[in-house]
Amino acid sequence: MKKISLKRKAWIRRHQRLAELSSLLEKRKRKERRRGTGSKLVTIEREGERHQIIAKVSHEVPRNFDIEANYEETAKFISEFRRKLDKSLLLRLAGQRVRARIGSAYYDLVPINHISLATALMFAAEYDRALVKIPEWNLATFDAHKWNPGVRSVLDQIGFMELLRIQKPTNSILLPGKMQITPFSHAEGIGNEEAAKLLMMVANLLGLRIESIDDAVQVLGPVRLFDAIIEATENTRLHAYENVTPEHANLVVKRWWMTGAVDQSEGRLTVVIYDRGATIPATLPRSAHWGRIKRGLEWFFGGEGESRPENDAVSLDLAMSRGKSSTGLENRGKGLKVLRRVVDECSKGRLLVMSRRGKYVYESGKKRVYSQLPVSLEGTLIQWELWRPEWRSMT
Amino acid sequence: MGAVATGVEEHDMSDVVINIAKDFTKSPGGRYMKDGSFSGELFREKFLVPKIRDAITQSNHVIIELDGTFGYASSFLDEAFGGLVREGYFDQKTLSKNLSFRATEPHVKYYKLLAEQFLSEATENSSVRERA
Repeated sequence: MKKISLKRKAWIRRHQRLAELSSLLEKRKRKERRRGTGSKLVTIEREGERHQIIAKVSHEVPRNFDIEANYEETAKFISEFRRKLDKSLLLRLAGQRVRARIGSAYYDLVPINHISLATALMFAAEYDRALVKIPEWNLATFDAHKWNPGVRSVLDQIGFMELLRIQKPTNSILLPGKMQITPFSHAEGIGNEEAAKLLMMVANLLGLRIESIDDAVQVLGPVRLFDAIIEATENTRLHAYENVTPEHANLVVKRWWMTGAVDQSEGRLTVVIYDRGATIPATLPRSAHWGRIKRGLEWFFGGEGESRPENDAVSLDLAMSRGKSSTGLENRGKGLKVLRRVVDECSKGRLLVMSRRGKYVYESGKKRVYSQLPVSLEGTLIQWELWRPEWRSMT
Repeated sequence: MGAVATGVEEHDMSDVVINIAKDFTKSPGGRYMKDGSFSGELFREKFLVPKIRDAITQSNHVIIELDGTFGYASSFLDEAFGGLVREGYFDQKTLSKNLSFRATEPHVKYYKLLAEQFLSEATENSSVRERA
């Protein structure tokens, strides 16, 4: 038998070790591929129960989750989130089982530093829509115990956790000096009853002594917020979802969503209404006031005066500023000017309207501002921020 | 004065007061019944028209009190009051003689003006319903 030299033995041992290492690396790679890059152990909460699973973060949520202050990133995220939810909804509606697997992707809300009230409402509306379509869908939160306390407080108060059937809303995590938020409401019809409930709730949050509905009427009636909420929800009811195509019918819930909040440190009342409908600029050609708006667009842009996304800021401004019509029948159109009047009834106020690619801001003591948004909102968002001295004195 | 139906306050011998907040709702809705609760159409059809008819038969004057609600959408006021003429229930002359509005709170006076405007500008049109 041929004697193996020491040098040869060392060479063999080295290659055996390399082969073992290579095999180990290959095994690890296969495991990584199965789990996905960035997989980690997370705690999920679903229907009141907690479990630990390995999952993959594949969707970045904006750290500043604010549809006004960080518009483009937030709007793009909401849009992408909606597409993914639509895809999942269609699969489930078609009867296919979409089961969460080890390594499946999730939206990590832990990095969010700030979420605005309007964004929280929009985010909750997406989940609400999904649950209307598939009520038995067991949605879950991931690492909710690690969420930023301010973000958790907003989502909990607005009713997000209750929506996911994780817990009832609680006042225990209200942060001192921060917003107190009413759970979101929604309806398909005109929101008169929801508006009355909201006004009762915010009156209580403002620290006003509300013992009966008459007290709330007396305190908040003069603000004319009720009329404005009716106007906004009536627009949604009549126009937002009137042309839903058959291929989208499965994905559309013909609702509006609303929430309110009070910041006791400032004596500020905020009300937000959101719908995912056809948007104000897109429905203007069907309104009774289109003739006047069309002439305005012709004057501004020349040409035929069409309602195109690139004209949305001007369209929105024209829609917001048009006056009352002279006959009862013509008054069946939109009375968006009512939305502005609320601001005029307060010592300080701000109205924000974002619809498709138009943004309109009307603020006390300032000239109105309208601008083009870089990407479409894919819906309409209306927000009032209102201050009155008597609210502050009672906080 | 004859018997007054429940929900309508007897004011004096010639006035019948209908207080929307007490007799109908504190949170009026929009224009049509199909679009939600407490609409202007519902108020007109199920409440206003019968009460006004009764009052006119008994030679009474009808006063609509607007105070006490959270507010009104213009569509509610237009359908409730403008609709009285548009839908052919009463003519302008009858209503101007037998119907008026009352608002005491400063912010409610705006709704009074609006209701009066809708009523005065309404004209009977082709979609007149047959009178009962």
